[in-house]
Amino acid sequence: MSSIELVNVSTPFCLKEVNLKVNDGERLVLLGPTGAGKTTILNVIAGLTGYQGSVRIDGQPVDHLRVQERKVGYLFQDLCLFPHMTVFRNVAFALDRGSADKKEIEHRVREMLTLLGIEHLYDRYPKNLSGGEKQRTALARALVAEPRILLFDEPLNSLDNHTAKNLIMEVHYLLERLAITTICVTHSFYEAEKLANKLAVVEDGRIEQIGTVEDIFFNPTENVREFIGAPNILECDDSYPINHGLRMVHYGDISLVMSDEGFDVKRIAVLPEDIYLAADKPSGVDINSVKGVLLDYAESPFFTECTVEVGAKTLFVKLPRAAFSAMHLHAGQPVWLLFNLRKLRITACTQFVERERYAG
Amino acid sequence: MGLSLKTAREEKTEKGGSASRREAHPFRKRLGSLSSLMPILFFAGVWEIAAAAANHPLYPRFSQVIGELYALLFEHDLLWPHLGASLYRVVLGLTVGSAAGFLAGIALGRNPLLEKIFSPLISVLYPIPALGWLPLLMLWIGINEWLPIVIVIICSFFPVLYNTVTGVKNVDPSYIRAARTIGAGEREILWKIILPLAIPNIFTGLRLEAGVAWRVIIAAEMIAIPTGIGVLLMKAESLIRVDLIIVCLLLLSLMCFLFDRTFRIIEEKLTRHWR
Repeated sequence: MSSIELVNVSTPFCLKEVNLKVNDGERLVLLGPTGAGKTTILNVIAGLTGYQGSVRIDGQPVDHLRVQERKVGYLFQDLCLFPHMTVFRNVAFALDRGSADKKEIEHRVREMLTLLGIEHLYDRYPKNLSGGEKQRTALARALVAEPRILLFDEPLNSLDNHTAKNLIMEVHYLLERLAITTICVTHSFYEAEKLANKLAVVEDGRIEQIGTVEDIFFNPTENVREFIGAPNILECDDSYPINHGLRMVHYGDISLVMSDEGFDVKRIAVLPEDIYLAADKPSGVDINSVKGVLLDYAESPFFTECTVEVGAKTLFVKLPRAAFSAMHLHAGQPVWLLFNLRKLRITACTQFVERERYAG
Repeated sequence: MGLSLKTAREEKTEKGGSASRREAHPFRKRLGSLSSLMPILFFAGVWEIAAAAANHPLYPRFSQVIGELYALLFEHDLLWPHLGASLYRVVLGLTVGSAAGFLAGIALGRNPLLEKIFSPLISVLYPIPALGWLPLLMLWIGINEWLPIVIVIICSFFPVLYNTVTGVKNVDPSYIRAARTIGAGEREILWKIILPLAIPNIFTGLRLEAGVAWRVIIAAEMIAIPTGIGVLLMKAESLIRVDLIIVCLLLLSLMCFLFDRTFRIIEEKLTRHWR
């Protein structure tokens, strides 16, 4: 395990005085929009790009070291499996340095392939692998040489949703088990919350905000809010379990039913686009729907942003402009808000759960 | 019971289906080979009939040419020394020229500065037809055994150089980056990543040059060298042996085909698993 620190790192046209510290065994996720400089940070750490400032691994500057000498494992976005090598040779390539013992290499490669559950792919070529198998092979190659730091660049970008969801759990488990210091780049909040125990939002070549996932989602800075969205934060008055594994949560006049995660819910965060708005009382069971008054609305080319008063609380709702227009609503009219329980993010003191992911 | 019967039937159908697919495949392949032979057979037939109708020594029949080829291959010792001499020159020239082109191609492909320095020179020399060098080489090295070999060296050098540079430069830089991050040195990257991935381009150059080498060797041999297919062609022309000329041309075509096939087979063996 190793710690890594970036001190005043700048690159031409991209990074601006980036300072960052990742402790031993920590998993930092760099989250940010495309072109923000996330991958450049990884390239700086790996030594693949020139920079000013200093990179320190375990407190020692590594700026003078070549890529080969930095001992970082790098899982590239496009994986970069060598197409002319079998799975075994791809992974073994990370160990096969001159005088290395062939038997030892074979043993270590087999061990790594077994750990990742791909030992049966031993003699296959990358063109005959599925997306998930390629990911595992690339991960095996990055890990087999026991790097000090593991760098992931958008690891699940090329995978379908289902495979990505399964793989992310495996990767999470594996990283926990290996306790390797990891820096992962993603633009997906879902991946970030699954992998991170520390999150840094990168915008315009700077670290905009750094903290736990919960810190950032519930207390985003102005710029971060523009990227991840500005959630309605509901400071809950109380919450208690009810039957069938459900929990009742009260926030002013709003009562919400959600599945019980086994802890007292302190706050609920829900993005404006995850609240449905209706002009009439919705039919069906009267759960998770509240009546309010449309205070105001602002229209953009595609969306309408509404301010709705529920009791003494104010909530923001965002809906497609066409849907809003079809309801012929005016300020001051009563409206109904519907909360999709799968879209509610809840927090206790230390825990953070995005319900959609469990349910979906 | 019903279920097991159904399963057995399904299995049988599946097996039968896959077996028939397996059988059908080589048959289709044979049919494909036959269909590509058909135009050749048709051409030979037309040739035979037209030559028989013309009945003139300048227009030998197809069967006459084949008879002559058979005689030259198996009954006389006229053809073998000439074919052997040409083959030796082509193989030697091709080996030296392509090895030099390969090494220079790697150097230029990997070193942008070298490429910048030498590419104007290569751009000037590459378009010169190989036979254009002949008068100059006749003066510099004389009319001797080395003349056709040097011509083949020159004509092989440039296509391999060009294609190797292209192949090396076309290797996705992300593979090189990935190799570096897992500790590979520059030499290892060259031998284990770049060259294997550049093989398709390099072999395109080799196949191109093999055909060109046979074409230029004939021309070079026609000048004044005592042995070779080119010499045999000139002799046949002076004796008005049209059948012999055609035999030499057929052999030439066959050699080009064999060289091309050989390079194709080697390339396929080296790359079939991953391409």
